[in-house]
Amino acid sequence: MMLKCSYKYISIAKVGNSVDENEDSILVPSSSELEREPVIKFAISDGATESSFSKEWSSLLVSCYKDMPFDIANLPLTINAISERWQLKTSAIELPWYAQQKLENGAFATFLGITLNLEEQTFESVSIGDCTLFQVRNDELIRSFPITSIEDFGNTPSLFATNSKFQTDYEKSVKYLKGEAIRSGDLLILASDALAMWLFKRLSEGEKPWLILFILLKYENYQTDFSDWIFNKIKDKEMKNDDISVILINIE
Amino acid sequence: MAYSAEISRNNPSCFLFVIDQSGSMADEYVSIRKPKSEALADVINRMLQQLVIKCAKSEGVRDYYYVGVIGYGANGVRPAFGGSLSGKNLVPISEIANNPVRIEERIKRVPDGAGGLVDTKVKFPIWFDPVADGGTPMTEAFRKANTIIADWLNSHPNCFPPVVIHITDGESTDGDPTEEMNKLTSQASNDGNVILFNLHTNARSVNPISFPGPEVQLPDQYAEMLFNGASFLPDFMRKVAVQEFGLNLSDGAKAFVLNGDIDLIITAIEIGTRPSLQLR
Repeated sequence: MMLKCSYKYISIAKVGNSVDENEDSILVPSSSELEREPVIKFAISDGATESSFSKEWSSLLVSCYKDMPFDIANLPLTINAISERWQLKTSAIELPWYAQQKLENGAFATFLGITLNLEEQTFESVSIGDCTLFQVRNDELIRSFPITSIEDFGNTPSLFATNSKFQTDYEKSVKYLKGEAIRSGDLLILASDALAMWLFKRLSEGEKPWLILFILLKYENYQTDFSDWIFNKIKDKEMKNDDISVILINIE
Repeated sequence: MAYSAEISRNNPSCFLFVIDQSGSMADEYVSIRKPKSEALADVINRMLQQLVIKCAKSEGVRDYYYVGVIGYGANGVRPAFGGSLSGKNLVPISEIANNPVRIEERIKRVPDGAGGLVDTKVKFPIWFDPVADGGTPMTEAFRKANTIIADWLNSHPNCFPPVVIHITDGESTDGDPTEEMNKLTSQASNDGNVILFNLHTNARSVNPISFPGPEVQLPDQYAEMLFNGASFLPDFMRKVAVQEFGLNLSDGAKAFVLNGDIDLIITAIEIGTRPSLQLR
């Protein structure tokens, strides 16, 4: 039997930044893909604040995940090819001296991609950095990937770099999950680091934090509700002020 | 907890450099055969360039910082930026980015990819030119720094605390600046006190002392005055010192250098400008 899935997602800029300064990018399937395709992909990428043209880099990474191979054997070629596209985009822009010098360092981004095989009832995932996948079954967390506890978060996550000179060793920094089972009723959450940290904090206090996400994203006007909720969490210092993205996938 | 405020465009922080431009700054550093004033101007210009690049994004430069450079010497105490920034005390980093006095081409040695080095031309913006003339009105310089920082804190009460980096090679010629230094380090935002670095540099770098604790034996009263005036290094700066420079510093380590050569001055500036890593 082929499973079905539905999803909700949201991505908002850090408090104080404008909407177009959000450097997170998201890949979700179209409604026609969702209806017809047995294999569907989702991804989140968090562009690094310290580099420039990070949004362009995170955006290319998620869009290329759709059609390009991210397995460890092909990854160097894939990242090179995406990097060339990024360079083509950025070299076309006339820039002042500081932007040119910044550009020489390239852009950086964390990445989390998940491929669902609804026919085989499995999924695989690839990750670099601290965007996190949570798998919830029967209202219990059964897996988080690649981060497994709040202690795993640091200030210097591994990143995909446009400039190979600054790329960390793929073998060490890119993590994979393969052939993991999904069942009807499972909830999959892809979260960028600040939200993922908050989820771990709540989990460590015995809560089931996905319930509030689930409720918030249920409403028609969830963009505003979610933004207000995030704003309050940041104001109360429960959550780091950062671009925040989340995809909630319901397996049916 | 102190020194934890976010540095953002809505809540920027500031760096203020207070530079000795007295006549003795014309003496050459023995190690690099370059006048101290010129070597320090290069260091300040490079630091400004790096800070601009750090704050640059695709749409322009974000004003995470305001930066000032004031010099003291023959002409008294005055802002040291040249060109269209001359006369300005603290300048937003985007204005600095767009207003260098000139952009020079310098030769830089970079790896050639085959294990060797190759000369390459790089752009080197200049905001601040070397000056070395006259006496050392250090007390007046700190009085000016106090005014600049008080104005800044008045309009930015929640900022990450300002860092003031004072670089000198000589003794004050206008009296004891202790009171003004103490006044400066007692100024504070809601996130902590102003951090003052007192960096003493020497052409020959005889018996250098860096970031000492209270147990240090200093050679004279003048060194003690600079040591006593300097701030204790906050935890996050001591972490940078250990992680990036391999300097294991005690809890009581001070933001103080005596008889430092140019490399030690660069290290101290790197440590002192590290709040720039806290950009969000």
